[in-house]
Amino acid sequence: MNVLIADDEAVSRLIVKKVVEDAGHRAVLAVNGAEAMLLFERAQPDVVLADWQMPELSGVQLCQKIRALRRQRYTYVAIITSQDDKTSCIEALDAGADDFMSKPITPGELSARLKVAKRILELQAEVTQMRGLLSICSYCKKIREGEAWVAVEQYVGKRSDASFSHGICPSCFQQHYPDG
Amino acid sequence: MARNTADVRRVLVVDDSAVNQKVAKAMLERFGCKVDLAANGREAVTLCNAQSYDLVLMDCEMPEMDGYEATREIRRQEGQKKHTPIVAATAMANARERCLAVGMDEHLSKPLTVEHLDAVLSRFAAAEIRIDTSAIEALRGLSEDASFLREIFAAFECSLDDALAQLRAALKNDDATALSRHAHTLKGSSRQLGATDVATICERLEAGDPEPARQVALLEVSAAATRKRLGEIVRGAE
Repeated sequence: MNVLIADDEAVSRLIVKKVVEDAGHRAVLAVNGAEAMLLFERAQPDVVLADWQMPELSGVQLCQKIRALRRQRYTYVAIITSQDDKTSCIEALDAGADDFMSKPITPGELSARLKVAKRILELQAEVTQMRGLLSICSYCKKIREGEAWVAVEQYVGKRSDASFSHGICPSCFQQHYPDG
Repeated sequence: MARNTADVRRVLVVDDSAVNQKVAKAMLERFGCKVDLAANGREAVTLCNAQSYDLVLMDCEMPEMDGYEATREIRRQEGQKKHTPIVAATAMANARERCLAVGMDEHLSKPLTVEHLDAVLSRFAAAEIRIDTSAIEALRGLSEDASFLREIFAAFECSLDDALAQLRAALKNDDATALSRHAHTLKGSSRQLGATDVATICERLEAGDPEPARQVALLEVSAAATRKRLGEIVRGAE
């Protein structure tokens, strides 16, 4: 997995990076929330591990911004903080975080929680793929959309930016215009 | 008696000169001490009865009751139960023998210097640094290679320097928000390395301690001791 680590504090950053890399993932480091947001597009992270209290943009704000992007692929966000009270935990989860960890970081705990992240992301990918299984009529090639059957152009056009330019392929030309 | 570097050391300064009192108080506060003042021996005896001190800095020549008599009285009242370190501070030459004879523990010549006070504090009111070595062990478990631990420690030293500079500036600017924020950051890295005393002081600063200047002074003392001790532990790992 690609893991984006956002922490203004060098000691934690080094430890988190070590645990992430030892677990076989790629780590990208940011020294505050704003930098993490800038790196987000380029790094395309699967997981974001963010400290809460950072200058510029806090971990919770970063999480809210990531959620607001409505990225197609799900980003797993965990907040790591030394504000280890229940209220903070609830606030972080309410802001859209998937997990909440207290500092000091325990390497064993972090690596176990990375496994959880991986498991959930794999399930998520599976769900997306299932949703991607389309029922298509073998004869007229219409696609099922809920109760109705619609033309492939309509179905795809509604869900993506693709537009259609109608033409004819050589074999259909042969079939429909045998004298052409 | 051993105390943690996160604990405030209480010192009584006994001097009939207001200027001398102020100078001694300012110097001691740089070491994070909490200082009480007495203008003569009689006040010193009363205060020592009411409160336990880690150190008493005693002028010798004073009106009402001089330092010799006050020391004899304090020692008489303490009996075998207790022994408060009493250090004479006097401008008089050859007073040393007499000071020790009445029960004082050491003798400093005036004018006082920061170096002398530092030496006296370390000898009579030394602080012990608390390090939670299990934190280091956990980090050591992460890598066979000792260079990882060295790298972490180097990063911690930088954080320590940076945080102290920021906290001093925040103190100067009377910026409570900055004090709290930088204390929070340092608390995080200190806990990670098991620097319990530093973390404790940071916690107080983060929570808005009513005496931030004293806490920052304590932090300076604690940070120096922590750096030294942690350095030894990390190097011992190689």
